[in-house]
Amino acid sequence: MTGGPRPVPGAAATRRRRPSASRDGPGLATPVPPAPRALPARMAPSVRPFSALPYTRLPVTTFLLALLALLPLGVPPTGAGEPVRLTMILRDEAGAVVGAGRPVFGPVEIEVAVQPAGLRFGRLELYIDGRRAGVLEAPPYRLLVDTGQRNAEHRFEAVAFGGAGEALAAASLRSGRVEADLDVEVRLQHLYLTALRGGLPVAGLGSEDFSIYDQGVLQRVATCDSGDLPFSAALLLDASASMEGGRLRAALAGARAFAAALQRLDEAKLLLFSDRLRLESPFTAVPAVLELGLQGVVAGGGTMLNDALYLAIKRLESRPGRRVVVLLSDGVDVESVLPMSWVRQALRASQVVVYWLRLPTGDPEGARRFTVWRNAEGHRREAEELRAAVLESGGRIEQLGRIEQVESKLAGVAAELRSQYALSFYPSASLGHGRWHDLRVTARGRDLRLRAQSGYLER
Amino acid sequence: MSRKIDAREVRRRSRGVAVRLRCLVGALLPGIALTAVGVLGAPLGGAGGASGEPSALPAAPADAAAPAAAPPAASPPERPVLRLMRSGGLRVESAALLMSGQQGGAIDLAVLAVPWPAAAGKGRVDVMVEIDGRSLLAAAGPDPAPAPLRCEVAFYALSGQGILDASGADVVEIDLARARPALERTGVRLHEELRLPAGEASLRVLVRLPATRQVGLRVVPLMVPPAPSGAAAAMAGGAGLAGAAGATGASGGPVAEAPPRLLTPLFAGATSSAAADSRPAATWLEARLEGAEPGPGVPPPESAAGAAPPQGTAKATPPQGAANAAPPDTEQPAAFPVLFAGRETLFELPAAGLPSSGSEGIEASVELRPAGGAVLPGGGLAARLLGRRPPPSPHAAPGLELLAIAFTPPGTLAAGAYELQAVVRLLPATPAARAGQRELRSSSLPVLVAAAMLGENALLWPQVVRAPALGGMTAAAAGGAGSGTAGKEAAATPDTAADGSEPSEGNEGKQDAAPRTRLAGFQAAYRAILGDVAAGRESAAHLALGELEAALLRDGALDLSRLAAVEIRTIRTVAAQAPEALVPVLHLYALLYAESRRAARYQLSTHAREMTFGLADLYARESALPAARQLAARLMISFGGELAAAGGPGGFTTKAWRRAAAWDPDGEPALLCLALDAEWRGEYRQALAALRQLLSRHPESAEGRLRLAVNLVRLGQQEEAERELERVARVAAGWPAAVAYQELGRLRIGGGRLAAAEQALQEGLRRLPDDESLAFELALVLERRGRSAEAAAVLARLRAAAPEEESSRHLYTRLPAPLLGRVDGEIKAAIAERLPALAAALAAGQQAGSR
Repeated sequence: MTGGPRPVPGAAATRRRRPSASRDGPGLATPVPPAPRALPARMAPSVRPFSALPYTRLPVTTFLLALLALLPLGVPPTGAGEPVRLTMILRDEAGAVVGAGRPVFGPVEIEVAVQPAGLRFGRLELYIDGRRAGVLEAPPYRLLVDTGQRNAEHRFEAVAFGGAGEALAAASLRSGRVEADLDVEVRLQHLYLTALRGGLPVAGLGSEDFSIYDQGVLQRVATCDSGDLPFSAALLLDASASMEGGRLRAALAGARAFAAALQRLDEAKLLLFSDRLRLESPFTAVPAVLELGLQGVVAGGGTMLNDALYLAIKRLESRPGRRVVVLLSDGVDVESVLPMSWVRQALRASQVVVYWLRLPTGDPEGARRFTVWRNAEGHRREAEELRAAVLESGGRIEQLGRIEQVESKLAGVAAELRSQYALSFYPSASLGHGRWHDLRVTARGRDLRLRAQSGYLER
Repeated sequence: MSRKIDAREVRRRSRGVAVRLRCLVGALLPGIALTAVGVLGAPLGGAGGASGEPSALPAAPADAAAPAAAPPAASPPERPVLRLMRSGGLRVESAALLMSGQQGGAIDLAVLAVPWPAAAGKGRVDVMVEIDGRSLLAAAGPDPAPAPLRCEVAFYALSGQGILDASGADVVEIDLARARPALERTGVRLHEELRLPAGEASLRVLVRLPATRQVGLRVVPLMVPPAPSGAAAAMAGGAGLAGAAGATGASGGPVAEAPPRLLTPLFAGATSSAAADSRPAATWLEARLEGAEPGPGVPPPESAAGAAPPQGTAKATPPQGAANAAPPDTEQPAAFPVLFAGRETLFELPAAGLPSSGSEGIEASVELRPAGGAVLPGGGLAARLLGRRPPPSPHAAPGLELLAIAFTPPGTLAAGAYELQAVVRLLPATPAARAGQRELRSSSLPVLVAAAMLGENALLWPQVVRAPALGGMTAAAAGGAGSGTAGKEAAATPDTAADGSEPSEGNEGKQDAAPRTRLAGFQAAYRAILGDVAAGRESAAHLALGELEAALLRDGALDLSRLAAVEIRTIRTVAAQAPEALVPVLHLYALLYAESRRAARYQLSTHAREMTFGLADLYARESALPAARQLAARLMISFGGELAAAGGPGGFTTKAWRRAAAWDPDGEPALLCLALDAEWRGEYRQALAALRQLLSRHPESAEGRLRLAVNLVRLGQQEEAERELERVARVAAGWPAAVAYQELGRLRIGGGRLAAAEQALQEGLRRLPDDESLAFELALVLERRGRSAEAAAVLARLRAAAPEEESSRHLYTRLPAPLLGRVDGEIKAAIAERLPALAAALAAGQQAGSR
């Protein structure tokens, strides 16, 4: 792919009409009148015509195409019993539909189609990359936004709320980016690292402070970043019968708090499991989206922890950047079809980091636990595999004394993710595809304690 | 004594509930050792638990009044006669006793719970506890130490779901040297205050002497009414009702819109020093924390005869400023009121939402029924509505008032235990009556009716129950344990017959020598219950049997082995007439087991379980029918299911299913259940043996073959396992097929045969596209084969399941529901066929007995 901007029919004329202004990121949003190309003579003061958008100096024409759309979620029934569906459509300046996964730059019109047609919400909120871009009180649900000129993926989300402020439905759509420099990074190996002193995160370290050993060989640190690095998280909550009696409610409250702590560009999804997958939200930075469908969730059934962890890992694999699973469970698997040793292999390949908030059980090591699927030895082995997988991934195990600690422990995980370092290096030697590399990271300063993944699978 | 126990305290204490429950099992089931040692808080009586010796208590926070017992010394005594102290927690044993809900023990006590409408989530419940002094002295032993006698009093309030809503623990310290005369006459009385959410609850009160480990336990059911609509906010806001009361019921103003409701009748009990002055022989030793709020005051009984105003007069509407004041000479309500035949009695009745002031629009009456029996002939007793007043401030709520009611028990009424219920009829003109609610009934209250000749010096139940006219009954036997169930238990006990046996000293050892009359009465009651079974009233019969047995065990009249012996003796006479009659009787005990387990009555459930096993043996042995052993096997299969649900695999579950398999070696359900039980216990060879036996008789059993294959894998016999799995996958449908494909996949992935695994999994998913486990496995195989995009596509199709959808692997862990359902159907039909045989056998036994 050449990577240069391609002209879009009609774009030049639009560009000529705009005042001179440049934006690097997504920004200003403007509600669009009902017919995007036929502006009404009079508009409310807060509504600006499409043509009044700030001028984007870089060519808008590079863009984008067709659409996509929707992730219908939660879909509570309407009064008539018909589910509510939102469909999100992006159009470029020329009015062409932009498909999901295609790159977007500059002004983009977001349209949210509603089914059943004519349905009115209390309000409809639109987000770009987790930041609220606008609120529409009444149909038509259209908004003009400026996505800027950075070659980056963008996530568009729409959340419909009822009159009482309850989230009713949501849709999301993700744009792509121009694939120009991806090849450069293929061999680059990333490493996410937590540095602690006296149990507290340490800031201000640079690449010169770290030494990375791949198979015992010192590597040159290529990059070292820190600060608010965005991440994608899968919150994996056990909703089996062992979570009855208020435990699930407390876990969900913790998940809400975690979602509320997400920063712009962070994304999370919620996965509830028992002996089956009970609920799955899309990746989102909007807490209300995570909460869709939670009402009425009750604990019950068996436990397929291993299978659910595998699913969470696979759901994260396609996400860019840091990927994290936060598992809330007592760690006792009963009905999974996948043994934890197989899941651990998948985890190694994915480089997903797992944090395990471990709920108390009467028999933590499984020494006296018998189920139809496993005897005590089987349960002990599975628990040990899970423990090893978590630590190998660079995550940690947080033992909870009481379920009420979930919220504070999840806040601790979120804070830790905010203070991590992202290191990268070019491995100096290849062991062959699919081979495991042992990694070791050290830091200057004896009192520093580091936690990072203990290896990676060569791709 | 009065103290508030709120949610924080419950939370703090609830950390020990799991430990307590484990201990309970250990304490009540023979052969299971207690392993837990800790409970929250300091144990009552300090470290003396193991030896039973009392130990130092925390410093006494308050003294208690003991007006009647204090000797007229010239100088004040160094210690009060009676002290009440709070305790930091409960012993394991006490907690276990409270959780068990089994009434009884050597210390006789009566408990009254007076619930008031809940507001801001919780309602106040006043609890009156009256401890019989003589039984307390007897329980303390013949020669108690010279140190003060320490008596623990613990309260547990459990919700309808069995959740601990409130609890409390106190210690009463009694200077026996000075209190003995008063204790001999009456006893000790306490007032406790709990806060409970609206709804049904079970209050359990335990009195325990740490020194001798003697106890008394009473259970009182109660219902905390919800606050009237519109009242909750006012009450939550702390409005004490000083203003609100003036605007409601008693003063005739508009009341909240809740339906009218009557609460618990309150009779006077003699506690105050003023009362003690006038009736010194009838006064409790009252233990109260200093500064504690008093319980609800009740006018003394004599005010009914003289001072009580006529209906609807000025006393119904107190003067301004005195709206919340109780009449100046009120007493605390009696836990177990004593009424005298032929003498008018006054009581107060808390009522909510009554429509008008004075006596206009309403009529009152009283119903008395022998404990557990029907209303007396002639129906309700006429009652006079003397007046209406708002309750004092701690109990006040919008629309809530106290009705003063007087009535006279008939002079011909036999002495004994009764249940009293107040009835208020709304005249047709009132709004509530127009809305269809014409008659209101109060909670049922146990009362004791004594002959008037007992006189003024015997006003309290400890005095009355020792009188010859009542045959020396205990408070529990007389119904004083509370209301409802307790009263019925008492009625079912032969104790209630005035058989002239010696008065109880609260000593269980003495009560073991149950008189022949008791046994005869019990056998008659037992035969009547079997008669109910024969008449098709099985549900009522098993409840009645539970109550009958509970009453006997509670009073120590029989222990478990003697109870079983007595019952088996009766059953044998039935079986001698018709062995088939054993089947409905056996099922009766199976039902009793399930019910007792659910109610956590472990003594009863142990007894019922052993009876079920024993009767199954007897039936299999005695019946001449060719299919008798098969039917006995069916009964054991079903009973094993109940045992598994209650206690999991192993133990008695295994015992039941092994018997079933022995009696019906060709039966599919028994062998399947036996195999599942063995799998659950990790005994894979045992499972394999049962499954091979099953498949030799039922080769078509898909579940049996699937389990066989799974266990073959576990035992390393992979090749045979794979053949069996392929066979199941080919012929079975539903979850067995799904699990067969999954296990084939696992077997092949584990062996590195990814292509073969993929083939099986693809085929499985084609047939069972909603099976998540197959999708997970297939994704993993595709990933390992380097086809990540296909793997992602497989997982992308996964959708969250509805709550009622169970995974195929979860169904594998379940008992074979369709087979067990079929077994239950067969049992039901077999019982119905045999009811006439039971009826005939009982009738024949009756005739033989009468000859």
